[in-house]
Amino acid sequence: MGIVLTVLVLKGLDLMLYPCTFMRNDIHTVVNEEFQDIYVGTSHGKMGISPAEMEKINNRTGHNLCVGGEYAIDIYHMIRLINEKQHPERVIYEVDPNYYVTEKQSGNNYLLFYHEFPFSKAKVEYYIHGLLDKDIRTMLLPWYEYGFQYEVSNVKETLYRKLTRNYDISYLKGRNQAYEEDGFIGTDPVDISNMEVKLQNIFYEGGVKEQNIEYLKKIVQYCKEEGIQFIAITTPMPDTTLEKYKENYSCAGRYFTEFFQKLDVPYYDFNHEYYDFASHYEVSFTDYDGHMNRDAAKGFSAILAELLR
Amino acid sequence: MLVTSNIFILYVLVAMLVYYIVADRYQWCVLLAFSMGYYILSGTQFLPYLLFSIVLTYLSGLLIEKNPEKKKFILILGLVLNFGMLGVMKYTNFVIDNINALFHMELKGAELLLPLGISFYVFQTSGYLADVYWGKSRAEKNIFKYTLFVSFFPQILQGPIARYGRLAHQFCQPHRFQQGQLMVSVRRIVWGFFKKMVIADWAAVFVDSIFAREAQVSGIALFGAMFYLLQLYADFSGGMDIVMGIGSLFGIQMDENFRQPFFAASVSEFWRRWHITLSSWFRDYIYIPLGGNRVSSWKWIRNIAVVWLVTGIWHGASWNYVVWGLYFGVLVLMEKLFLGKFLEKHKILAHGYTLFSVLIGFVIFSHQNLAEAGRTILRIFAVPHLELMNPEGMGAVGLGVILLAVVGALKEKGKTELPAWLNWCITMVLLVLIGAIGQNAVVRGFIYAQF
Repeated sequence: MGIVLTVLVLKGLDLMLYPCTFMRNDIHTVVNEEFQDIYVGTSHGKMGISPAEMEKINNRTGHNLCVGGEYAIDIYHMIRLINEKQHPERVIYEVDPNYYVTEKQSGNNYLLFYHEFPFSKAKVEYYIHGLLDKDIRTMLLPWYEYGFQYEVSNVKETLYRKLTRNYDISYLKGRNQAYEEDGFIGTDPVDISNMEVKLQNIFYEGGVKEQNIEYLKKIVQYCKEEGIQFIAITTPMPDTTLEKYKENYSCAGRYFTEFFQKLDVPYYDFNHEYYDFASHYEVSFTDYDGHMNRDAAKGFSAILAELLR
Repeated sequence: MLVTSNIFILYVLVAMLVYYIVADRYQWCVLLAFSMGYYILSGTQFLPYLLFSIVLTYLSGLLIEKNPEKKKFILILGLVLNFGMLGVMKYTNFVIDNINALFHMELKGAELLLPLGISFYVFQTSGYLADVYWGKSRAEKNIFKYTLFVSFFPQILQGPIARYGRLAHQFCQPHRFQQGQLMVSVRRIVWGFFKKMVIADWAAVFVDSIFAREAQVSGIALFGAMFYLLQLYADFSGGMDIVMGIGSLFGIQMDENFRQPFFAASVSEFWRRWHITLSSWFRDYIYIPLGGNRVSSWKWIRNIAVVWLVTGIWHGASWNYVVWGLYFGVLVLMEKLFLGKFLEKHKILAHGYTLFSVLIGFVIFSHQNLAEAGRTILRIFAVPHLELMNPEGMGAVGLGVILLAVVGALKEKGKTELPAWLNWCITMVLLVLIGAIGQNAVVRGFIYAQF
């Protein structure tokens, strides 16, 4: 009796306090609708690739599953999940080289994806590979990393959305930034000239973490086995950033060009080989980290669609 | 495999399931299998040291019983080899550093990894050997049962340091699953998680930020020291609550390691309430064999000095631990010689004195560099400046301290029995608090697991 009651209380708290993130919508969409192209990667991809814009050019349906904090381990399990539910023709991976020299943090960075997975083989595997050695709160109290007071104040809306299976995204559209149905996040232009050019973690020779590269290889292998075309891209960075971290970006360019060549994966690096195809002016970005504004992202998506046609 | 991880909890659940399914006479085998499994999963490279200590003391115990005329020689040889292993693994680089400093040499340090739990199991096995030598316990004939006594998985990484006579026989008794026992155990485990994830880990955030800036911001050293003491207590006693709770899930009751230490009215009493299994180990296996207090005054002072010196050294290979141990030795001596009677008459002063003395002691404990520790102690007396305190963390720590005080006071009065429904409600509230106000920015292991 005590055990059943405990499980019910914990489930109830999860239902009330775990927020409805845009990843909830993203994963719901890709497991319930069929798409030809799936875009995965980091925040650069989220703010730089508009599948709707690309569809206008190449007539291919797609959904953007990128998000900040998305590492190769997450992508691998998401592709497996999607492939359980539908069969995409292509996976387009936005590679941020800087993610390869950092380790994924525990906690919410896994839960952001894992929590939204419907029960599936991929979910079980993801739990074993990603969450098994993490803090017990990830299992018992998955809402623990969100602001408690804020989530308590939102309980009514959260419950309503979850209980009515409501996936309306209007609440995810802010004044300056809007989440779109295709998973793209468009941001208004901002003046970045007064911002500091300072990247927290930057790619360097010898800094690649084993887990990241191991999962990237697994993704490529899995896509090959399943007959899914795998394409890699690196989105353009502002010239100022490329200049400041010249050595690091050259090193990253060489590393991934060689890596993908070995695996026979097409790789479009917009900071080197495909530099001239995209804008690197400050006006295209919302920061020196390389996050594009809405207009620049739409322009870039059109170019990408042409290249990947 | 961290005690606070999903995998550890699942490991315990699977162990419980198997433990209560198998026939009574095989229950200890299940615990042995899971204990060895746990140690191997924590690092196979450490296994030989554990096995060495087990085999050495097991054989020595048998030989002591078979050869009473040579038992002293066997005991000494067994202890020298057992402590020798600990000494080599833990103190080699400390000795090399000091030789280099003293004689201006450049000897290279050895690349040694400290085996997990070595300070705990070496003391546990040595205590067993001494008990067999004194005839307090019979030598264990079954090496597998003896291995379980040494390696019981909840306790191997950070204690408590068990006594053979109180623990080993419990493994061979039949244990039935009892729901009431389950609830009490779970409450204790959740209380341990609360202490660790809410109090200790939040206090650690303040400790890190204060000790990083105490030289620049005046008057924060006192808070740094207080938070460090709180962190250490909540971290270690929280870990013990988890360990005891898990042990009791299997029907095994281990010796308590803490008994409301902050209610102590003298430093001597504090040490009878803090890390009890270590203090009592030193009392029973060093202090009393040296003659205790039934010797001449000088020998008695020597005995106290020896006990506190080794208490300091046990904690680590660094001079601050030596000074820390001797500092408490001096206070205990002062209390026994003249301060004790005064403290007995002035209870409030006694509590204040104890807290302050302990606080200063643990500043020494927290700084490997003795000069830095000295500077921090001097800064304790500056005027407070509280800009580094994060309100959310302060609230969590404040609530934690209130709960610690209430629970401590109830335990002091012996009021620990609760109705099942209240037990459940408290457990759930603690769980929600862990999720709502637990520190979650940095995952930290247990401090005492590194000793």
